Amino acid sequence: MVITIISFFLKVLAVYFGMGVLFGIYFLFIGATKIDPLMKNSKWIVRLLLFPGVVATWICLLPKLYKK
Amino acid sequence: MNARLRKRHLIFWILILIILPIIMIRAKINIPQQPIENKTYSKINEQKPFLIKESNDLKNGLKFNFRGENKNQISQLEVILIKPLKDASSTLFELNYNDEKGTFIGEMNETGVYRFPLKEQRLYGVLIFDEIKKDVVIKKVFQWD
Amino acid sequence: MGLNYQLVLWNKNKKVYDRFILLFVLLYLLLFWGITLITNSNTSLETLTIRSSGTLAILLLHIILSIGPLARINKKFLPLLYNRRHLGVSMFLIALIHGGFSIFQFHMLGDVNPIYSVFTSNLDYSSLHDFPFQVLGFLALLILFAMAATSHDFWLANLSAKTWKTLHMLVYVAYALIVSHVFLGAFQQETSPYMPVLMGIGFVVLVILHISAGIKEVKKDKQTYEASDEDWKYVCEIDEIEEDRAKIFIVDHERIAIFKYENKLSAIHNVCKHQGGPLGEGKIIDGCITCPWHGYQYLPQNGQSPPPFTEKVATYYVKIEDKKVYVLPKPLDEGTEVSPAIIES
Repeated sequence: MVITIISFFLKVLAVYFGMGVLFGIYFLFIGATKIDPLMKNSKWIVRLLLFPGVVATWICLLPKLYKK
Repeated sequence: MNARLRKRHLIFWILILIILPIIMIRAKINIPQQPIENKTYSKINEQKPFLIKESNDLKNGLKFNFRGENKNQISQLEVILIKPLKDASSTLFELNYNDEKGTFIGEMNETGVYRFPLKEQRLYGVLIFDEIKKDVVIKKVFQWD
Repeated sequence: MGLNYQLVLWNKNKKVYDRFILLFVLLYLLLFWGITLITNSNTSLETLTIRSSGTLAILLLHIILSIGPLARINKKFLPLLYNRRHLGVSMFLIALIHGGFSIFQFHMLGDVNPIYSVFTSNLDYSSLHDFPFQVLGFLALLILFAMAATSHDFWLANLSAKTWKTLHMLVYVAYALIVSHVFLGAFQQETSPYMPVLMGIGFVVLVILHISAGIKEVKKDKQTYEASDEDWKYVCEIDEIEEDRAKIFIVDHERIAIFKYENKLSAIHNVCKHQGGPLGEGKIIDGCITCPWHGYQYLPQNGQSPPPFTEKVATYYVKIEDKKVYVLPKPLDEGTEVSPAIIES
């Protein structure tokens, strides 16, 4: 039972972060300026710095992207 | 920081104040004073024959007890690990007369009582070996009359 | 505040702050490694790295958690608050070294996925002595990662204030997980009493600091007025407010900052839109109210950031009668233009 719960939790985590990485790649190349126009004038390295945060919180950024 | 956030901080700290001391105190008082008697493993003999000989290495936190029916029928080596070994996973080998690693006896990690069946009646010595670093941790030679 | 995002908005204070962090970290590691190798030369490199990084991360976490209440209790500690996020990120990176090496040392050598092994190598959740303490450490590391990854200004702007603050208040959950990780893990094998006692002292210090600061703030909150449409509230004499500075008053548990500048008085909401800094503790620079924490600015007469910036805070009506200052405590909408009260000479 414990193993089942753990396996499920880890699978969810893996899927979440996997999707976060995909969204992060999109953010790096296209999504950054769509989410925040100030990113247009920002250096590309800032996007790299923000990449881990995008992977962690992509689910909160999706509605913002949808609104735009 | 506004009033709502201050309230949230207060709630968190009240919870921390209640929960953490319970965990800290219970964690410390639950540490067994003696090495655990029932820390036996599938390959280890659960029987506890008579104590024939004791040999200690207290500096390294180890006690070696030879057990058997009588002094001519020693069948078990009981190792009591009082202090944890520095290495996560250590293996016990017989020490042969050339002071080299001999037959495999068993594995040890946490503090506890380990009982290993013995083929050789009067061991010359034992060697504790770190499998990860491929390094000898402790060597112990036994004195037999 | 800017027209773009930068990696770090460097200024002299930040550079000094970061140099102190680096110096502290290096000194700690040097001392730890030195003392450990002198007292126990058999200690392996991996064990040394795991222990030094783990203890350093815990020490830094205690310092970080102390900064907030210390700054409330005594303003001399405010400079520690300004760049706390750099300290937080540093602490996460050190904790990551601890976690990474531990996973490598204890979970990499089998044929099972190492993360899976962290969670399943020990399933004895019913025992305190054998509790799977590694899981607690892993979960704490996840929280610290989420916090470090969202510490840049971009996240303050693009995650809702509620989301960002909720995420960052998880530091308390991380703290609880880490204390449990240590007490149910390393301290189960620790024969010396010093380390548990030290952790206990750290815990007591944090509790005292947070409760003391909390009591101080609650006392201020109690000096409150009730907000109503027509009920002007007397707050102070004109002379009590310094030039280009403010005085802070509590209304309905919220704080109003009344600034004096160029023979005028204006009142705005005390909380900065950036990270909730106390605007009333700042000063007027180039005609703008400037937040003492990170320099965000607002025009006193309308609570708006000067163009092209878009942050706004609520404003309040303020009047002067017989050299006494009165404020109408009901906040106007953020960015509402309010004629300042003129100080007649």
